[in-house]
Amino acid sequence: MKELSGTKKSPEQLAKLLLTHAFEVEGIEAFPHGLNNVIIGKVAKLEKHPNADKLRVARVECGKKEVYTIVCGAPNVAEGQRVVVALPGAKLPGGIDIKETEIRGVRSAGMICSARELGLGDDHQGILVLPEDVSIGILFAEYAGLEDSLIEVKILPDRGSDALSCQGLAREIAALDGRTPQFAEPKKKSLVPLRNRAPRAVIADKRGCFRYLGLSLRNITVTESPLWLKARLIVSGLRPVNNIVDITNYLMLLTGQPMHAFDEDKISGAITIRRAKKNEKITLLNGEKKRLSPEDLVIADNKKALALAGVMGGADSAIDPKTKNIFLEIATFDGPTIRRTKTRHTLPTDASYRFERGLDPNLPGETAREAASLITSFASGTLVGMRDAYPKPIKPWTIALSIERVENVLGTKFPLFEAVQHLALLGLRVRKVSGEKSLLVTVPTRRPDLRDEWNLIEEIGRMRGYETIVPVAPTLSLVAALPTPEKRFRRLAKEYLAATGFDELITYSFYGEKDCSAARLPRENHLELANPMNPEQALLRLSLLPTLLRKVRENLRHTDTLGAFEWENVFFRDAKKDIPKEEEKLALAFVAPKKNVAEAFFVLKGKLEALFETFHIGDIAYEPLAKAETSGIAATPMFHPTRSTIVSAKGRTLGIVGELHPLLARAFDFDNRAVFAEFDTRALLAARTETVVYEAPQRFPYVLRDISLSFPHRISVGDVEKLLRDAGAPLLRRFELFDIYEQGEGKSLAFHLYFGLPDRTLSGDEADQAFQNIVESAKERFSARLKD
Amino acid sequence: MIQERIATILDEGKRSFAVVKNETELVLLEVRYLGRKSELNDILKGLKDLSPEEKRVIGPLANRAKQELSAALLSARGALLEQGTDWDAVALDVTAPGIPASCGHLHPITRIEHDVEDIFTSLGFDVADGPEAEEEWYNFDALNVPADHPARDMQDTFWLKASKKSKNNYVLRTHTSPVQIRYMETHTPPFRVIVPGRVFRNEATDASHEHTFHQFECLMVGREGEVSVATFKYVAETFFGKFFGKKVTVRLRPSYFPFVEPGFEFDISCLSCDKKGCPVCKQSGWLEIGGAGMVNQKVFEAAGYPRGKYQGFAWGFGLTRLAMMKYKIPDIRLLLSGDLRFIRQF
Repeated sequence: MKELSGTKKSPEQLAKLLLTHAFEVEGIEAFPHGLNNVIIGKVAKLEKHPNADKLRVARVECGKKEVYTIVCGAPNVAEGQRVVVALPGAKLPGGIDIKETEIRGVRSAGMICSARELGLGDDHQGILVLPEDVSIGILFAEYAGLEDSLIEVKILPDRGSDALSCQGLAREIAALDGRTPQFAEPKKKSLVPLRNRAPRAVIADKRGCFRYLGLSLRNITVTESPLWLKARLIVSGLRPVNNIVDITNYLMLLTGQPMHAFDEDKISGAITIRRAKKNEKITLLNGEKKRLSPEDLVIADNKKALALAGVMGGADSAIDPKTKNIFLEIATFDGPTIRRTKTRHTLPTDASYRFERGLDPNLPGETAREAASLITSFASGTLVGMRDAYPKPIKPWTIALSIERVENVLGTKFPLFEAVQHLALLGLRVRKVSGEKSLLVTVPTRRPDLRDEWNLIEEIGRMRGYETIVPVAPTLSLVAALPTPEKRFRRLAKEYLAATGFDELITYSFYGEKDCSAARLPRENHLELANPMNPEQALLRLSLLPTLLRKVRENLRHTDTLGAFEWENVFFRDAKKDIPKEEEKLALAFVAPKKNVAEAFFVLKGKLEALFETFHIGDIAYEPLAKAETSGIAATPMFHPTRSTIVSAKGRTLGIVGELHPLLARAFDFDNRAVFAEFDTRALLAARTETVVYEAPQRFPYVLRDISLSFPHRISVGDVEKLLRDAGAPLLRRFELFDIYEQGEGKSLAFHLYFGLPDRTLSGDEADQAFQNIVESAKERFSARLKD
Repeated sequence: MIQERIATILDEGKRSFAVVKNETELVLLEVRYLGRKSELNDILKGLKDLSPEEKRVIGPLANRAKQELSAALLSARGALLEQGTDWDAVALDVTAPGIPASCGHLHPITRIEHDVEDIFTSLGFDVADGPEAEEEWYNFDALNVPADHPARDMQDTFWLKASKKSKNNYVLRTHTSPVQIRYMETHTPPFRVIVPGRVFRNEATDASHEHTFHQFECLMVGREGEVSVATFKYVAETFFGKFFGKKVTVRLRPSYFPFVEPGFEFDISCLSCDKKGCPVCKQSGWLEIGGAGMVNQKVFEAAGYPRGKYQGFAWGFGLTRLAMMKYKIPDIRLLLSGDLRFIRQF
């Protein structure tokens, strides 16, 4: 990178520069080459081992005074060679710890290493011999280019075309440094030899492939790569394979252009870039057999698909150690096509990663020359032909940029010359429009992310650095920013509930089939995830209660009593339109303490009544669940049929309160100390009295009478209250239940009755008459008996 | 004459109160000196029959005497009480616990949401919300995240099973940003709005990842030139300054989010060390907060606004993360654990 960008900055300084102006830097570290205490030496003298035929004793010079005696078994060791010596203390990448040892009676002060022991390939036939001009005594890692720092940079998804390569990043660093990059622009000279012997290449699918360039190289030798090339790949985290593969990988890292080498002798006829046929099959390089989709783009010859375009080559056309002639593909494929294929076959590769980000179709032309030159240098061979199918060449485009807009968006003054400077450093061609504060900016084709003014404003902004922008308070018109009634109610009610003993829980929005059926909820009304984390989180909740029940139960392991609520959305399928719907619900749970005397139901009901009063939710009616008509409440099947109630206000259903249905109590492990409720929050809000109108207190004293009536069991308090209201009107102004006494076949209810008139004092006789009306009516309607 | 009489009464009375032995005696003395039939009271009642000159002299004198005697009575009563009470015998053990009253706790996420809403509401921001099961179009396409684009990899998505009648695909929203579009569809700039809400990512949970978490979105749009990067910095610094109760600096770094251009990753100065570097910020001096940027014109177009007419910033980050920062919660999974031992601390 230093070489390419010409930067003089340290890795830490570079990281900071990139972070502030370009990309996030995820880490900096020294490359862990594992080659400490590994140095270069010269075999000064070689003698036979006194006690072993196959071993020899070498005297290795590693500096003026440092001469080591090392026992060596390699057949190719010879006097005068420059070799790699691992001294005691070295821990080699191949897994060997070097110690001073005695080998058959001769002390050995280290080891002369093979390429494999150094982690540089598979060659274990003999030791690694270096060229004769290498100076001795220096660290091998330094010589091989492994003594390096790694900067891990997160290239943003829109910069895949230009920055996902060493050259691209170097270009960026140079620009940030204020310089143009050091590496030369490509020469224009034609590569094509006189007689073009490459197979013809036809792009049959122009939506999938924008350019297909192929080089034919004959008489190459597949062998190991030179040390420098191996080292560069290793530092970049790739494993060296052979010279051909290594060169294509190296060029991909260097330029960002993926390539693929076919064995040309395994290609039959012309190359076609087309979509796969129905049920077409291919065996890939990694051995996987794939059945292709007609949407997959393939590279095919006359007979069959040779490669999955932009993703992976096929096994049948792969190069092998015997390969003599290759066809090197350097192409540009359509990003979305490659991405769909990668996703469909789960084949994320280095190539697909680059293609799916969209590459510059002009890049193959620039890279072809380097590829040809590297292959002819390091694999011998001759270039015998080239094909370049490029139906619609892409040309640089021009964007008009107004400096006023730059200043408007960034919120800071921006001199024209500074904008020009930043853009020019990034390799954009800038022309001033005479007489105007605007520029015409021509964008090189490697920057498809720069399409409009705002893209350019970003470039200018980041080049200068956003830290230079001073915060500015906006000038705004005055608006009343009051949360909506829904939000205000939710907040006030949540705060009220918390203040009165309910802890707020937040639970997941989904549960599984198991909880759905345990909660007796209809599976078909649920929305379902196509790709859940696991089956237990596959259904979107129809009610808040199943998840709340689980959490409440877990908490009962360490608390005896609790109140809890959750205020969140539930989901259901709109049956008519078949689209998802959501509703906001309030679920409550109350578990009475073990030594509690009152029924838990009534404790929760009392708390709810206080809530209703606080929020002016009036005209509440409680109807036994068993008697209620269809309530429209999804949670109904979860509740006990005769120990639960539907709550409504002014005829509109608000929710449900009660004990669990016995089957749920068993499935979720609760007893009747636990009671639950679920309300529709919009209905609660709608039931509120918006504005309270003052009513003067009773001016004239009430006449008080107590009444105690006994009723058959089936008569509910609600029935009796309704009777009092009907029969007591208009003189009965208020009443209060003060005793319920259950006995034998009936129950007694005792009320305080308050009779009165708004405009004068009521006489005792008038009150007695009204009292008598009530008694008569109760006898008539409910066969009630008056008790003394 | 009367003056002398008053002086005598006052003098006698004070001396008597000073030596009183018990409550019975005290009651008798109260009657004698301050009662309705006391001599002093007679004098006060007789004031109305005196000449104006006499009234001016005697009135204040008599009233002051009554006040002094009342004070003497009170201090005598106090002294008697001091002597006659065994304080230890009636002492409460104030260290014994109070009788438990019902008291619950809001979830920390709710607390943070309220704090955030209060700050933004005070700055004139609306609070909006939108569906959690969202159309693919709102969650991605309208925000300039087309299908088959690598930007979709930035957010792992829960998809709903396809509906039979509707052509739309639905997701559990991966961010609160779709509400940007929904809000813009029904409002015309200038406006400012925040959107707190629950979002979902299809990723495995660990101490710092949870598939369900809470975010909020902040969107401010004006005519061209009204809302800039400089405005964003101002709003962000104002918000964090109020939220954390100390001066906070915002740092913007270039980043890419398809729905904004320019796009930023933004950091705030470390709350523990203020940019010096400490273990909390891993020695960097900064805390990573979230993404932001100037609304992409393509997003305005998707919402039906003309290109180039408006300008604004959008900004989103985790309520969950704020809660974890503020309350020093080490593991994100605690938030939705439903464990009351956790909730009851807030």
